[in-house]
Amino acid sequence: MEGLNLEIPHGKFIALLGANGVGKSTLIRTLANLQKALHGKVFLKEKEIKEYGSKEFARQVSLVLTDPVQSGNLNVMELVEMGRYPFTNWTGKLMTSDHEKVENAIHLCAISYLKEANLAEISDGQLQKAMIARALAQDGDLMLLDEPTVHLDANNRYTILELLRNLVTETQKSILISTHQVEIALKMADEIWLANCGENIKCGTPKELIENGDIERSFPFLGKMKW
Amino acid sequence: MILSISLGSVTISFVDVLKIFLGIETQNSAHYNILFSYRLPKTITSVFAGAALGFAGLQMQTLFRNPLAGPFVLGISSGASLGVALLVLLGVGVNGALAYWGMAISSIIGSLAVLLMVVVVSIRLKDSMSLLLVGLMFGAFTSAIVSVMQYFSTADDIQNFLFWTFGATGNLNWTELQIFIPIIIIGIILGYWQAKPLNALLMGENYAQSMGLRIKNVRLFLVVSTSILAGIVTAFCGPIAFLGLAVPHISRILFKTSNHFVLIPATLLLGACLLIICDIIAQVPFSDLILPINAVTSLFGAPVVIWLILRRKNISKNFG
Repeated sequence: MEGLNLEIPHGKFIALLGANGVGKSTLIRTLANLQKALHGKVFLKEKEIKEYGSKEFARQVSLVLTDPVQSGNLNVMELVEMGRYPFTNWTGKLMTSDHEKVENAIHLCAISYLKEANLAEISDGQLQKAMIARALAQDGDLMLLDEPTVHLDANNRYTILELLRNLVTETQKSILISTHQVEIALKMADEIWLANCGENIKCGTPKELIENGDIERSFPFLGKMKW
Repeated sequence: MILSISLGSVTISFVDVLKIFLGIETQNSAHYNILFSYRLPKTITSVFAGAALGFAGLQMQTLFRNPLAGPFVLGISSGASLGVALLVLLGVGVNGALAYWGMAISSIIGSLAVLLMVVVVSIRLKDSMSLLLVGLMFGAFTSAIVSVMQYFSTADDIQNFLFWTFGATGNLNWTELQIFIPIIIIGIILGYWQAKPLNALLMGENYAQSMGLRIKNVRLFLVVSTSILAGIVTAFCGPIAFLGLAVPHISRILFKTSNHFVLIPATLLLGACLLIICDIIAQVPFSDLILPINAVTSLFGAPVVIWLILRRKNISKNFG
């Protein structure tokens, strides 16, 4: 992707759409400071992200990636508590305010009934909700999710994206996801970033991009799936 | 621990052991010597060496997210054996106490050399998996050099070197313990300070970084802590295999947790206990026989680990 000029405003749910290989994951990882940008700069709240200390950045931005989490011995509560990591001291002890944020996150993601469950025992959908809760507990202004619905069944794909939509509405955080769930994204997102190979990213509301035919151009097979 | 002090080739009755500790006179002053000059230091050595190796193994397994990692995975013991080999196989013959210190020092120098190379590489690498492979390569390389040296050495020299590789907890006296113990404590403190980062690393380096960890710093700390612990134990006791690999697994299975704030003390405790037990077995109580500790750890340890795993039936889910 070249010549990008993108902005994530406050309190918006943005979906990054595009074909495989166009660079969605790379973009997200660059925004997340996991990779260096080849050219250009990324700013978080007026400050370049490479000027941020690790912890400082972590307090603003949290992630959900496609990396597998194999810590089967952890339970859901411990997982979500990890979200407070950037705020606790070297012993990792959580203060009352930390506990509150954790409980709030668990409640918003509707996984209270899973608190004591071992990660190895819960389903993929439940695990994904737990990971989102963890990112939520981190309480930054921005959440970046790379393909949050991959490996999930059709129902879960909808409920996860609906969850994210509601989170933005309720908490006024900004959430950027990359996803292949084009129809659901068009329904739920405030803004779409449409990535095509060799072109600049097209930004606009779902309505705008449908009306000017961009969606149809990028996803010609979408219409064919109507029954 | 009391068992370890009581058992050995010379029979000292349990009552006598207590008496000597309490400062009460007993008939045999030789017993006193045995207890204080030999058995007690040996037991203390086992406690600290076992704890050190167990903890080092835990750090490596979590850092590399690899259940096969152990304290020597960075090539530390290979570096140590290179140092010792250079002294024993190539150097001029040294005798007695000088030999022991000579071996300890050359072992430390060897470990430090490997540590230095590993640190330099670690700073330049982005991901830990690469560091693991580089460490293994360093190990292979130094082992090969040692092999070549052995090939060209005399039988006597080879035997001396071989005895070093068998590992022994009995070579330290109180003077040496004064160096051994504080260094191990430093290594443990360095590592314990990283308990929270270790927990974060359970989720992988990307997530850990997203939670505020500076991966390169943490990696450096863990590498240095492990090298100090593994290096000093190898210097004074020779390479003791297996414990560093097995003890973390046993801790995880027994305590059913991945939380390092629990796992670290658990591993320290378990490591100490296990090495004492192996040491007792190696002494082959009530007889004159002594087995090499290196063999005993694996001989008795491996079946125990297999039994534990079969009981739990599935380790990959629990790992990490």
